[in-house]
Amino acid sequence: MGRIRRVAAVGILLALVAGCSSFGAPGAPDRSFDEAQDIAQLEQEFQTAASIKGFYASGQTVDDRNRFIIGRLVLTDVHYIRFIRQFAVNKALIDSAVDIATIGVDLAVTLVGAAPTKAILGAVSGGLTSSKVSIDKNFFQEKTVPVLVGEMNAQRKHARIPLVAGMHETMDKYPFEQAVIDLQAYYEAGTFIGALHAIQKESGVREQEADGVLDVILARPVPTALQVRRKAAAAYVRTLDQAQLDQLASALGLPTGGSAKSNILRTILKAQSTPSFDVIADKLNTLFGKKV
Amino acid sequence: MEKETVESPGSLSLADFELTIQQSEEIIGPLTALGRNGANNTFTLLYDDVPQNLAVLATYDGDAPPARDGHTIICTGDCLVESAPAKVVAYRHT
Repeated sequence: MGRIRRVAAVGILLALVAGCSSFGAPGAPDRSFDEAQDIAQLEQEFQTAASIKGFYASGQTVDDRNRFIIGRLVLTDVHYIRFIRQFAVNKALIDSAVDIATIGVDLAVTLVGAAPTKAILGAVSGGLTSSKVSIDKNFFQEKTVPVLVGEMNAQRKHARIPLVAGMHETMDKYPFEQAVIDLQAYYEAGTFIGALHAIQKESGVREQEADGVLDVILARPVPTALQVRRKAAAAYVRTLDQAQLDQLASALGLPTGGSAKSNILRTILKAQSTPSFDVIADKLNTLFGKKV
Repeated sequence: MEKETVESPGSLSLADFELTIQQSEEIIGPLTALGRNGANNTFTLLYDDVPQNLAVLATYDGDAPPARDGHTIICTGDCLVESAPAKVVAYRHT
């Protein structure tokens, strides 16, 4: 078993360092190992911990669940990097993916207790990092694929959050079945179809935002001076009659009518910088002579 | 009555999360709910008069938040505080 672990660690390291030789890159020697076999050996390492059957056969503890999550995360990350290396994406994109995977592996090293498993994970982490230098810029010509890979990287970062957060929760709060669902979402985030769906969804949201129909307000604390002005503007808006509200809404490019007041108030809330608030303040001054 | 659900980064400290909610209450109206959406927290506000006393947040352990003298509990939620899961309760001084 120890020999397999060593072979797997060395194999994965070599596969990741020399990964782009699969492009037939000039200046790269032929591979003298079987990448698929190396991955298979890593899968064998996590066979029990990362299998659903293995989890149900275990004590079904938080630790068992977390080992399952970590195993699947690491395998998914390794497959993902191998997957994107097939395409002519730029070094920054691969570096980004490698960084995410390295974080995952490092997390696994921290959380997984067994020393042999730590060793193999450490080797994978080293392989992921050192493989950055082997990217040959001559292959980075594609224009479309990098957009998809960039989106996949972003989606994978987002999809990883509930898994990492979930590992800190009890089994009641973050059941194993939810982890399986989240892991599937994490896998799908690293596919072209997932990236296309995300881009499509985002463009739809942007279109809706442009129409002023739907946009989520992401609020942060604003400086006191700006908040004093926002508060004064909101208080003044509450005193306006419907005709004045319609006038102001129209000037701000918002729908008029019954929802005018709420739309104006949410526009004030959205104004989290002085320049963006000044647009509203100017309208109040111009229309009603109100200075805020 | 119309409601507005706002998001704020889950990376904020409890103090900044509270300040964000208080500043939002001063513009939209009273807080009614807390929650989480992925890496962000969510809070729901009612389009209504600005409350006299703004919401105050605290984290707690266990099933129910502790009572606080002179305060009512507005709502509770599973949120993120500095990116870590936390149970958060919102109080309002009566």
